[in-house]
Order: sequence, then C-alpha cells, then structure tokens
Amino acid sequence: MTARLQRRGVAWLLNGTTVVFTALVLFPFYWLLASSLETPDQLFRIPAVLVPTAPTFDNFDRLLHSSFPHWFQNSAVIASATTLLALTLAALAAYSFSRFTFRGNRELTTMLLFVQLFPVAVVVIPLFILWTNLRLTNTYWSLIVTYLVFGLPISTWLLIGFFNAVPVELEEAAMIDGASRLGALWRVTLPLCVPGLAATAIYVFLLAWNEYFFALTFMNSTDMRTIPVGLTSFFAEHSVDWGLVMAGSVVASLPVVILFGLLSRYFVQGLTSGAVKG
Amino acid sequence: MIAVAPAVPAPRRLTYRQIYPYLLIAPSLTVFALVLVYPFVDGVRISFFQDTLMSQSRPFVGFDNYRVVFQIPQLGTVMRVSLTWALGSVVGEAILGMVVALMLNRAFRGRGFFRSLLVVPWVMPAVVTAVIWRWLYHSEFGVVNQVFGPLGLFPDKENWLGDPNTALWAVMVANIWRGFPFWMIMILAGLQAIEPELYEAARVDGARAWQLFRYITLPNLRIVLTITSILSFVGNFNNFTLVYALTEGGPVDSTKILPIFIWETAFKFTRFGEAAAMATFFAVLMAMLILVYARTLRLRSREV
Amino acid sequence: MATHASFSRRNFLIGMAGAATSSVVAACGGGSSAPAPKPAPTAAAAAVSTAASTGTAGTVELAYWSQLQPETQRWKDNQVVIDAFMQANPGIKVTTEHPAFADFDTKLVTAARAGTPPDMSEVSDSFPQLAKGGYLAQLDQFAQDVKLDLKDYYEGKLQTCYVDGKLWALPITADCRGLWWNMNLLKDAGFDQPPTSWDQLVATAQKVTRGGVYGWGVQGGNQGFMICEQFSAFFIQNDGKIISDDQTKAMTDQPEWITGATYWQELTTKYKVTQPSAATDDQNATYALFAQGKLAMFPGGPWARAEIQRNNPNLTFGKDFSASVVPYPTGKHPGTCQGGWLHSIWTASKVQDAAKKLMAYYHTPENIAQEAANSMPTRRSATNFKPFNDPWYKPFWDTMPYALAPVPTMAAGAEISTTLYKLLQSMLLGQQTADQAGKAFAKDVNERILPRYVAAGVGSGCDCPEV
Repeated sequence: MTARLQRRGVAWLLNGTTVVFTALVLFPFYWLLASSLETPDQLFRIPAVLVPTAPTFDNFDRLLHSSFPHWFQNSAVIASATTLLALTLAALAAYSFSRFTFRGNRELTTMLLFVQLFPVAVVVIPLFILWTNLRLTNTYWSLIVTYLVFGLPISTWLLIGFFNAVPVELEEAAMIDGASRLGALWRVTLPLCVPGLAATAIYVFLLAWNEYFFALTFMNSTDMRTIPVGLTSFFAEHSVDWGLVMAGSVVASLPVVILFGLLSRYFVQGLTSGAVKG
Repeated sequence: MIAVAPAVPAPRRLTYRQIYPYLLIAPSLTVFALVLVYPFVDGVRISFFQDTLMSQSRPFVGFDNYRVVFQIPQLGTVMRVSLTWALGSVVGEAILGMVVALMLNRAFRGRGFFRSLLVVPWVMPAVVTAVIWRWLYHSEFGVVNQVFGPLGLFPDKENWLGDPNTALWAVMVANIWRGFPFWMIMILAGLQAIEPELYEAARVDGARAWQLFRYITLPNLRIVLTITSILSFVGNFNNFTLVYALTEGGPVDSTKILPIFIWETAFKFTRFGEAAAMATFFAVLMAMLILVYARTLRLRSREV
Repeated sequence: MATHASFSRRNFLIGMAGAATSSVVAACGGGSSAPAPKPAPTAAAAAVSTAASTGTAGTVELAYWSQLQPETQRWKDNQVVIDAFMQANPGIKVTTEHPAFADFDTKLVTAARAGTPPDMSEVSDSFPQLAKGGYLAQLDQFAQDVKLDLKDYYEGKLQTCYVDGKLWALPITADCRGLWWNMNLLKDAGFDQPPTSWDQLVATAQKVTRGGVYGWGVQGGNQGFMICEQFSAFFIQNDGKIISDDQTKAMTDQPEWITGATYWQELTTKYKVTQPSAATDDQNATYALFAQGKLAMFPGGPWARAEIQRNNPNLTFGKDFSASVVPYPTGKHPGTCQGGWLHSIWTASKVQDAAKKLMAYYHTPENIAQEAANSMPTRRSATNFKPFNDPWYKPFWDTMPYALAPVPTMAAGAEISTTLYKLLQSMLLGQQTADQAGKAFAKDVNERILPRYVAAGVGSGCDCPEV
C-alpha cells in the first residue's frame, strides 16, 4: 500500500513541478501578451504591473494600419515556399541516400552538419553580390533559396531515417505494378513518413520565419521586409513605438506558436522514428 | 538499401541507373553549391586580399589579414566570451532539456499539451525574445528586479544587461530559455525509442532510479546526445541575432561574442578582409573540433 | 519493363521542373534569361559616372535612402520638400527607401561594397570610409555652381562634411543639446531656476536625488548617444579634444579633456546622481524615465520635447518641464556635441545631375527649416522660419555656435568611436578614472589604431577651410 502511495506522491510532485515549470517558462510570453494590450504610458509604470488594468486593442489596430500586414504576407509567402521546396528537395535527396549506396554517400552525409559553420556576417556580402548579379535582390526568391540551403541538411537527415524505416519491398511491389520509382516514393513511402515530413516542415518554416540578417540585407523596400526586419524599423533614432513593437511581436509569434502547437506531436514522432533509429 | 548493379556486367559507359541517384540529389546540391559553397569559398578568398571600404583597389596580401587579426588585443576576450557563451548555453540547455524530457516522459494526461507549451520559447523570433528580455531585465521597469529585489539575493536594482559582471550570464539565461526546448524534444524522441522492457528487466534486478538513468537511459541516448550537442554548439557559437539585439556586444565587451566581433569588423570598421580572415580561421577550427568530437564518440561507442 | 516508360516520364518531370524554375527566376529577375553569375562589378563602381542628363523620353528615376521611417513626422517633413521638388521638376521621379535606423550603416556599407548604392542618401557613421573609398561624389564644384552660401552653415556641422579637405556631403540636420529639467522636481528641492554652472548642476542633482528619483539622466546604452548626447558636452566646454585637429594624435591625455571627462564620470561614480540603469538606457528610455518623473535633468536635443510629451501627455512644456543651456564651467563657454545627419550623392549614380538638382533644392533656408522641423536646421538663416523662430529654442541657438563633433570626420573614426564607447562604459561603471582611461585610450589610439590607417594611406589630416 505504502509503495503505491509513494508512487502516487511522486507522480503528484512531478506533475506539480511540471505545471509550475511550464508557468515559469511561459511567463515572458505572457508578459508580452499583457504588454501588447497596454498603451505605452501604462507600460512604463514602476513597479511593473503584471495584469493590465485597462486592456485595449489599440496597438493591434494601429498595427493593422501600418506596413505590418505587408511584412506578414512576405514572411508567410517566403516561409511557405521555402518549406514546400525544402520538402521536395530533401525528399528526393534523402530517398537517394537511403535507397542507394554510391560513392560520396558518407562524405555528403557528414557535410550536412557543417552548414552553419561560417558566420553570417561574412557569407552575407558574397551572397548579396550573387543575388545582385542574378537580379534577385528585393525579391522573394533571394530569401527562399537562401533559407532552403540552411534547412536542407537537417531535413534530409531527418527524412533519411524515415525512408530507412520503410521496407524496400513495399516500393518494389508498387514498381512491379507499374509505378515509377518516384511514383512509388510519392504513393507508398511518403504517406508512411508523414511525421517526418511534418518535422521537416516545422523546422524549415521556423528557420525562414525567424531569420533576420539575410532578410535585412537582401530586401530593400519597406514593403518587401519580413517581420523580424520590420519590427526593428519600429525603433527610430529618437522614439520607439512600443505599442507597435509589442503588438507586432505578438503577431510575429502567434503563427509559429500555433503551428508548432498543432504539429508538435508529429515533430516528436518524427524525430523518434527518424533521428534516433539513425 | 539497394545496391546499384548494372544489368550487364561492367559496361564502360555510365548507365542511367548509375547516375540516377545523383540526379535525385542534383537539385539540392546545386542550391547548396550556389548559396553556401560559393559564398563560403569567396569569403575565404577575400581573407587573402586587402578588402576595405576605404579603397577600391583590393590587392592580394597573403596572410597579412590573419597576422593583423591575431594581433588584435581584444581577440583573447572575444574567444573567452564566445567559449563561455557557447559551452555554457549548451550545458544549460542540455541539463534543462534532459530534466524536462524525463519529467515529460511519463504518461500523464495533458502531456502533449505541456510539451506544446514548453516549446514556445524556441519558436519565437530572436528579435522578439530580445525585446521581451530587455524589458524583463531593466533595472527600473523590469520584472526580474521586482521579483528578486525583495528576496535580497542580488544588489538592489541590478542593471543586468548593463553590468559587465552580470551581462553575459543574463544573456545566457535568455539563450538557455530559448534553446532548451530543442534539447527537450530531441531527448524525448530518444527516450521514447528505448524499449520499456529494458527498464522492467533492470527494475526486477533491483536497480535504483539513478542506476536506470546511468546504465540504460544515457547509453541509449548516445546518438541523440551527440548529434544534438554538435548542432547546439555550432548553432550557439554562431548565433548572432539574440546577443546583438540584447546588448550589441557590450558593456565593455563582456558579451562580445565572435559573430558580433566579426560583424563589427566588417560593417562598422568596414574591414572586410580581416573579418573574412577571422571567420575562415574559426570555421576551420570548429570543423576540426567537431570532427575530433564526433570521431571520439564513435570510437567510444564501438568499445561498448 | 517498367523502366522505359518511367525513364521518359521522369525525364519529362525533371525537364519541366528545370524549365519552371528558370522561367520563374527569369520572371522575377525582370527579363534576364539563363542567369549565369557574372563577375562582380569592379571598375564600374569606381569610375565617376559620366553625367547622364534627363533621359530621352520619360522620367528620370532618383533613388533616395533615408533612415527616417515613412510614417514618422520627421519623414513627412522631408516628403513635403521632395513632393514640391517633383512638382517643380516633372521629369524627375524620386523613389525612397527607408532602412531602419539601427541597420542603416549595415545597408549602406553592403550596398557600397556590392556596387548597388542609391543615387542619393543620408549618410551616417560610415561616411568617412565611403568618402575615402571614392563612393561619394565630391561637392565642392557643385557648391560653387549653385552659389551655396557655405558660411551660412553652422561650422561645427559643416566641418564634418570634409574628408581630406574636400566636401563630400552637405548637412541636412545639425543639432546640439540643451538641458531638459523637470520644473516640479526642482521646485520641490528648492530650485526655481535650472543650474547654469558645473557646481550648481552637482548641487541641484544631489538635492533632487532621493527615493527612486535621480537628478541626472545618463544614456549609456547606445554608442552614438552615449558619446554625443551624454559625454561630450563637458570636455567640449572645457576646450578639450579627443583627436587633434590635424587628426594625427589623440588628446585624451591632456588636462582639458581629463577635467571634462572627470566631471562627467563623477556625477555617476562620486555624486551618485544618475539612474541605476544608466549603462543600458538609450535615449528613448531616458525620455520615458523623465516623463515618469524619475529623472530630474538630462541633456537632449529639441526633439525631446515632443518625445516627453508623447510619453506623458499630462506634462506641459513651460509649466512642468523646460529646456535651458547645458551648464558649463564658470568663465568658460557653453558647448555640447554636434549631432545631425548629412546627405551625399553617390558616384555610381547614373542620374547625378538630377541628384544635384534635388540637393540644391533641399538646401535653401526655407526647405531646410521645413525638413528639419522636428530636429534642428543646418543653416543660420533657417532659424528665421517656423518653427525655429519660436523663442523656446533660444537655449539651443545659444549653444549652437559652440557645438562640435566629438570625434572628427576621419577614416579611423569608426574604430576610435567604438573604442571610446567601451572606455566610457568602463568609466561609467567606475572601473577606471578619467585620467587612467584618457591616458590608456590615447596610447591605444596613437600606437595601435592610427598607424594602421595612416600606413594604409587612408585618412590623415583635414584641410578644413576656414568658414
């Protein structure tokens, strides 16, 4: 009896700790939400007030009338396009790595991890010159292709694990029935790998949505900015529109928070099957 | 895995079947070569030329830029700060991520819900994280001082981001808050791949909780931990946006990590050649470190 | 076998993908077909573009970059001038881009290096390097051609437009600082008038500092503002210098500088009248603290009035807060930093004639007064126009003749400023005295920084003409 009570007690303790911990972790986000509902002079109160006394949606209203909706659209389009392309390219590449052994397989796999070794500040100028020569600056494509590259390694690596887990016999069966290799991939393998695809999609989307430096460099016009760069523009030399900054920050975070909230189960599942089984 | 075998014994010409795998990875490789390899190589190339904004002639100068870089007195500070930052963040994120993953690995109602909530710090844009934490850390308007002030643990009205003694730790806390969910998710995935029978068998044999952790959990998490630690270290070491938005490298260089130092050299002092030299050197150094690290772990796993 | 059919279908798919990609790329690229990376433009950017007159048919497009954001009042003031210009010059269309203030230098530097600059833009900290590198157009001849009265400009600002004795930019805003003081807080401490001398400033600040209220606001969180807003007033008043006028050596080991720097430092470290968040507060935080009644005094430009008002609409200028001259040592003269912005024409521009027209249009006293309405004008005669003919500006006009740029315009300026900022932070934190800091800084600049720039043949000496 006492053993069971003890286990119950431990369970309660752990559950309680989880709740408290989650609350602590989420507090900064809560604070952001609360601040976005305050006017700037309410924001500057000492001591800081944790629950807004006179909440208002004024900041969000003003946000909608600023250039922010353009930025939201830009970020959304770029992130979505990057994700779709990354899924496609990564699936093809991962399929190749998984189903074939060929020269360079191992070296290429190792190279996957060395993507982020070069600091952004130095890569950015040669890349900017490249896009300038291709006349792609101030277009979505400069960012889409750039983000694609940074997202491909993990995406490929994740999907390799998944494809490895799908028995080749299934594909062969489909091919005997007249499907092409890619057809088999599309119709048989991919549906079994949805968690991995979801994991990839989330990862790449996040990367594209949150990135700052390349977005700053490759886009010139106010209308073509992505959200992170746009948020910075609310900080002028002599004044900061904190209301817009807070509201903008909330709107910048919500889509990815919701997306991840919906798909995190797949993400974990994806990593379980894909990453760990190697 | 299917080995590609030619239908006819060893034809001299490349068959379609042989190049087919390469065709599949061709689009990825092309994009890679264009966006990453080319600028990388160009960056390395620039490091051997005198490249500043102050002159439009860019003569070849060999290793001059490297020589200048190593004579910069700040370099020691920058390296110390960078290593502290990267290692501290990785360790902090790993420990926190592990603890939370273990807590979440039990079956209880709403587990998925909490897991989704705990991921929020990781998904927010870095600039948003910086905005929030700048406010939280403010000595007058910030919540941190409001909470810690009455506790008397720290000096009254501590200026967390403005005091060289606390700035780096303050920034690291924000970074760990932001980064631990990644570890949590990776470890959770790894934990769920461990067969419960292993634990059952060990429990029957009388193993205690910490023994289960040390002899079953950890070894089985080896792959996940290796990969995550490499990704985390590289990601943190090269992380520019968060620290830049929080402190811009100050005060008094106490948070001047290498990426910020390189950015400053390139875009403020407009000395591109030197910035490229710094970047090349450290990229090469890190690549070697990672190779050594990965190889050591692979060797060790073979011994087990 | 299935392979035959799959072969052709796969080929087809791959071919389609390739075609689709290249066509999309072409569409976005505006007509370029198979894009192959061309060698980066080299001499093209360096050569002064031959004057391109207003094209054959249709309008000339002029790209102008400003760090002012389009929704702000300061930009709208500028837009009035630009719109009027376009009306008067139907053949010229001005398009504007607005990189954020924090990123402005990064954008300019990137654009210069990559060969994609605008036709005309505001310029910032990277100005000396850009001028040295030949990216900006020389304006001496232009000034003569349009008979620009250079003597009408405040010298403190005009001087900053010269590199190696030549004019590379014109100032569009110039500014100095005044002392913003909270009348209520001072009255409560027994002061009807703001302090006018160093001793009075210390005494007033000390009496006011109590219970969460601080006497003197320091903006340490932003390099430009720390050096300019904050620190420079006192050593400038004392005739100290950071770099000698001929730009060959640092002068922070001289007593004039040390005295001014010590005074500034001691306000924080000895008299303890500054707010605890000083090291991270930028100018915006200072306005907020002042508006909340947490700061009694701080140095700031005329724009602070609108900002304070915005942070706390209940305050009335003239009743609750006011501006006066920044206190200076008895027997000396007023002085603060000279801030403001310049703008330049880029040599890579193909429409330099149009740009020059815009430049000339901008620089009449009326238009200067218009575009600088929320800042300060660069020409004396502009003070005759609204809003500058309002008497509340008096402390600023009194200070303007003595306002100087703390670090002269020189190629090493960026490194010197960054090193100086670090120094000031360490002084603010009490890590070293002004004396130690000044001597260490002078040594560092003279021995490490300046030689690298002189040796590379980049920037020493300014033959600034007497204006």
